[in-house]
This record gives sequence, C-alpha cells and structure tokens, in this order.
Amino acid sequence: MNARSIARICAAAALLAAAAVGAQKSEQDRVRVFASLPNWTGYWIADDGVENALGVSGRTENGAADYVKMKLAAPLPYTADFATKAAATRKNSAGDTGKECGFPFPFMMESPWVLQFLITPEETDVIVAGREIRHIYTDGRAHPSPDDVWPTPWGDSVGKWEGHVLAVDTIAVKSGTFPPMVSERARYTERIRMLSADRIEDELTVQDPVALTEPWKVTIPYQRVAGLDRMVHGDCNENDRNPVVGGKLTIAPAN
Amino acid sequence: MELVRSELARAARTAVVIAAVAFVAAPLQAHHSGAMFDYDKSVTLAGTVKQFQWTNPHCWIELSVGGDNGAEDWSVEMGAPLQLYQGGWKPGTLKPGDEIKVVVRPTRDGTTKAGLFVSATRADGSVLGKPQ
Repeated sequence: MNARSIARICAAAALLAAAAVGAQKSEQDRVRVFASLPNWTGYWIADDGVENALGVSGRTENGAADYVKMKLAAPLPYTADFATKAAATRKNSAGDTGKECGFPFPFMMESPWVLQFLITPEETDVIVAGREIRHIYTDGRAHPSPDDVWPTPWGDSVGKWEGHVLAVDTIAVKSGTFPPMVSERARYTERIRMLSADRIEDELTVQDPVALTEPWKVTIPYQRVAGLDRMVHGDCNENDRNPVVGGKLTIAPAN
Repeated sequence: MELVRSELARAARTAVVIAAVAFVAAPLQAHHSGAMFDYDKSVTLAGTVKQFQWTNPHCWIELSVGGDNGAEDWSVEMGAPLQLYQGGWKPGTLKPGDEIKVVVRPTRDGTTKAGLFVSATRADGSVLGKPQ
C-alpha cells in the first residue's frame, strides 16, 4: 500500500465520520423539535351538543332536528349565485335515502366519530374513527403548484407551529354536499390549540371568492373522550342492513 | 322607496340564510337518515336475544318477543361498535338466550318489526352499558 492509497482511505474515513456526526446532529435536532411540540394524545369529539350527544343508538334524541346545532351547519354568507347553485345541489341530492360512507374536510373535523391528533416533527395527522385521515405537513413545504394539485375530499394541508398553536392552510378540497358547501376555490385556514388538558379548539376560517361574500369563521370545540382506551374504527360496508327499496330506506332481516 | 329596497335586501339575506340551513338535513346522519324512526314514540320490547351483531356500520339486537299471536322477531338498530364501546358495551355484553327489555323508537311505517335502540335492561333490572 503506497502513500496515495493510504491518503484515500483516510479521506474516505473522514467523510464517513463527518456524515455520522451530521446524522447524529440531525437526529438530535429532530428529538429537540419533537420535545418542543405539544402533547395532544388521546381521543377527542366535537363538543357541539350533537356529535358529543350521540348515545349507544348513534343518534341524538331528536334525530335530524338536532343537526341545526352543528357549528359547520351554520348559515354561510353566500353570494346570490352560489346560494342558488347550492340550493339546487341540495334539491338534487338523495335526501332521506342518502347514506354516508366517509366524511370530507372540513366536515370530518365535526363528524360523529372520535378523532386523534398524531403529532410528529414532520407532520400532524388527524385520524378519524371513520378512517378519514388528514396529513398536515409541518416540514416547511409549500402546497404543490396550481398545475400539480387536484381537488380531493380532504384537500392539501400544510402547517406550521406557532408556539403550541398549529396554524394550517388547506386548499383543493373537492366540492360536495356536506356543510359548509363552498366551491373548490375555497381556502381554509385553521388555528388548532389545546386550551386545557381536556379541551382543544379549531378556529376555522373559510375564504371563497366564488361562494362567499366575506370570510366565514367558526370555532369547533373538542372535549377529551373519557374512558376510551383504543380507536374503534367504522366501516360502512361490513353489514349494511339498510337497503333502499322502492325509493325508501328499509331494514333488512338478519342473515 | 328606500324602505322597499331595504325590505328587498332583508328578504334576499333571509333567503340566503334559509338556503344555507336547508343543507343541514340528510347528509349528516350516522351512516343513513334516521327519518324511518318515529322519535315521538317509545315501545318496550321484552324478549329473548337471538343474535347480537357487533358489526359496522350498525350493531343489531335480534330479539324474539312473545305476544298474543306467538313470538315475533324484532330487529333493533344501534350505533356503530365505536359508539357502543364508548357506552360501555362489548361484543360479549349480550349472548343468545339472554332475557332483556329494550326500549326502542319504532319505525314510522309500523309494518317492519324494527326500531332504534334507546336503552336496555336485564331481567334483574340492571341497565346494560354505562349510564348515558
């Protein structure tokens, strides 16, 4: 082994050592960031007098009459054109024979299901018992360019931590029939924070140049679900005994 | 004239609000609309559990209910397993042969022997699940 070979080996070893130190530092940085994030572990339900009032029946005492209490069902400052369009959409929807099979954003944030906030340095995920998931990226990325984003039921979310407040920006939410019914040009901003050990709130502002005359703001409060030791997921297809027959929902006999 | 314009503007605002509120009804139900159930009526069923279905999107109690014309089979719709679990129910809470009383909201058409679960007690009077 000549001197040149020895020098190459030493250089390679030095590079490897530097890389290891860098990786270790990066990992230490990640641990440090993780330690600075709030602890929102547990299960949460919207404290709106509806979703947190569902008993073992899965429904409130007065049925659909109670749904007017929902935060996301509050009246919106519609433009006249969009009010007409939205009314027509509603008229054409399935009405009392309709079934839901998963909730879009933002309705998933006030759904009948409990939800969980899974916080990591890179992203915060909102996991709903109905198996809806939001990925809120907090790694500094921006939304995809307008040419590279397409509307989905959950949209595209990026966020950043301002202390222990998660500030979220969401675009590209597919239009649908769940409230708040707005256009696909809507932009949703949220400020999610823990108020106390058992309380979280999500301040949501919706801006939509097509559907709304002004920004629409709503706050969804959450309460910790006591005594729930695991996530119990939903599935709309496992044993659906409510077929629509003759234009009406029915109850099928047990198998 | 100003008054008329003001009234028209108010009427327009009211129309927009009404249109918005009209969205509330159907799509927010748990899996499906509950319009088939009569929330103004309660029926107490005393019977024998034939089957307890711990399934999504709804759990079901299949109950054999004695009557003047012989036994009738009733289907009692409940919430999803999550809602039962939150309410203190487990898959083993009911077994075939258990004697229970169940209060239900019956179907509006009255022809289907089925109802929406309200509460249930065992033969000894103990309430099933956690107090709601």
